[in-house]
Amino acid sequence: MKKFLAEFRASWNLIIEYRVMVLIWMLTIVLPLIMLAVWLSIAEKGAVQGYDRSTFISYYLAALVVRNFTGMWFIWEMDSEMRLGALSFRLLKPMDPIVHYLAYACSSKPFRVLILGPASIVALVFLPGLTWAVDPLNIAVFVVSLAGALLILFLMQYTIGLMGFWITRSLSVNDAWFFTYSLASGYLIPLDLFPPGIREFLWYLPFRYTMSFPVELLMGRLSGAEILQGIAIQWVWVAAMYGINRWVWRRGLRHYSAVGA
Amino acid sequence: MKFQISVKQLSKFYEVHQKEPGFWGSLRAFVSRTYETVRAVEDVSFDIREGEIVGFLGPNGAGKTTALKVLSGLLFPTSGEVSVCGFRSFDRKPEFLRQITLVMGQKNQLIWDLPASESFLVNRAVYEISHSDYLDSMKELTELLDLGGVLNKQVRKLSLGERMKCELAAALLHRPRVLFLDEPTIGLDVTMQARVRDFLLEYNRRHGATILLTSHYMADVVALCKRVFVIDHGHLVYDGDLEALVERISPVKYIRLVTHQPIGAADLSRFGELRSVEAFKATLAVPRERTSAVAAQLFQLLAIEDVTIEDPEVEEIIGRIFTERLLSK
Repeated sequence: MKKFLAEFRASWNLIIEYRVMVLIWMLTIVLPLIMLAVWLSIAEKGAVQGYDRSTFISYYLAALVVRNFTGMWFIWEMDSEMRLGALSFRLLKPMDPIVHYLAYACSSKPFRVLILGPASIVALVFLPGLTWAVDPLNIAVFVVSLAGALLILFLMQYTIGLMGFWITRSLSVNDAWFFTYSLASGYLIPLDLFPPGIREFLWYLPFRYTMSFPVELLMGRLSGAEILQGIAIQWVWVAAMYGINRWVWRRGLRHYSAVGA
Repeated sequence: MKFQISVKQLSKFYEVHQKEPGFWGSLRAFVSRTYETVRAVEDVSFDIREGEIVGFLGPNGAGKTTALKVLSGLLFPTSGEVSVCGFRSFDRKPEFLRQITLVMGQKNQLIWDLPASESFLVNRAVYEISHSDYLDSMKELTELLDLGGVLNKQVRKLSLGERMKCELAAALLHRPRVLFLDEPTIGLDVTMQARVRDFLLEYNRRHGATILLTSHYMADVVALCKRVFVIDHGHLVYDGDLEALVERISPVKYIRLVTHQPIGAADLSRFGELRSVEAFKATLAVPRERTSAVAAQLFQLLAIEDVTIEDPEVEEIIGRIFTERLLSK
């Protein structure tokens, strides 16, 4: 934990060093806003499968918040470290590199809370149609679901990054992954609007628990039973992803050490 | 006597796939790859005692860096045994990693966009260095490497020399007992090279640390290492005293003469191989065992102002080892 905090501190200092850059990054998360504009024009003719103007606003602004708190971009750093050999130094330290990358991935989050927290309150007060369930218990569960979402995404990305042990360009795999994620998580289109069969199928994949689930939570659309079930499935996925990640990590290390570090 | 580093019949082979240049080459490589085995290190054995400084000599691609990587635990050996501080390197146990360090002159482990002091704080936590040990280490390294004023500048704004000093400090913060240094002085100017050498000697003297280093600068090896390994095409072709190596490879010494009278080449060439001759100066290469006898004869023959007897430059000798492959099996 001490090691994590030291790594976090260093990455946080990087964020402070480049605060303007982080702000610009935050502003570049515009996909939910574009989707919102599209759906609003469609919804003018009437609600789509129960989604009206207000639902779309609440959904995509929640998606914007969730994306800001769970999105991570460390795979680019990881890719360059693996290709340029900096990973070798990490392997020679008495700390698993996963601690470094997790700290690095989380380091911009406090900054985003600082900006998005007040912005959300302002939006809740002044934006007509925005309805989120903001009672303390629901917010607490929402935070737990964000942590789960962040861990699933981190472990997925880290596992993809580890493919760099075998292939030179793990980033192209990441592109394919992002496409899948955007569709299957509800980031682009609410999962409720998918045909029933597909929707149920997506419920059992990890993607829903990285976006749609926290969003639905914040919107107050889930019953108590659905929330418990969702949290359970989410954290089973966290554990499963961790298991897969460790397996790939061990195989990758063996390969790396055999063919040249 | 227990050895701190013990290597037995170490071999490390790689499979490297071959690709012919151009589009068709790429296509062919895509369909069926041909692999070639590179024997980076083959059947190498040696032992190093605690506190020894040993230099690894060899041309580019001889296998020096591969050997260091195997020793530090980054690569696992194809065959053979490697023990460092009583551990199998490749297991990379935390207790092992806390006792070693690897510095690569061409790579950098400091956080590029932050001051070096930030990287030190991370290392302090990662190596679980206690507060008082950290202060001790920092004080010592700041003094020996003259780090004042450098620590709080962003790493990317440091000069190469300043950065190398910070790299060394970051790598030694946890007071490792074994140092693996791959070209620690590469790219540095002569003064800075000398500083790094003095620092390494002092660190070795104070903490009894074992150092294994590679360098292309002979001055590093001469100043630091009594013992050298010569590695060529993956084979260890020499393990021993640097001085003994010089004697073995170069059975001659140089006699440099300054005379009062003009020198005729004919007079001198019967004493040895005449390396250079000017009006009042000459250099003769003479077999080692005959140097004093020859010098005495020269005094009788010529009106001599000054005579010096020297070993050939180590640089020259090492150059000959590899161009003429004098030690090859």
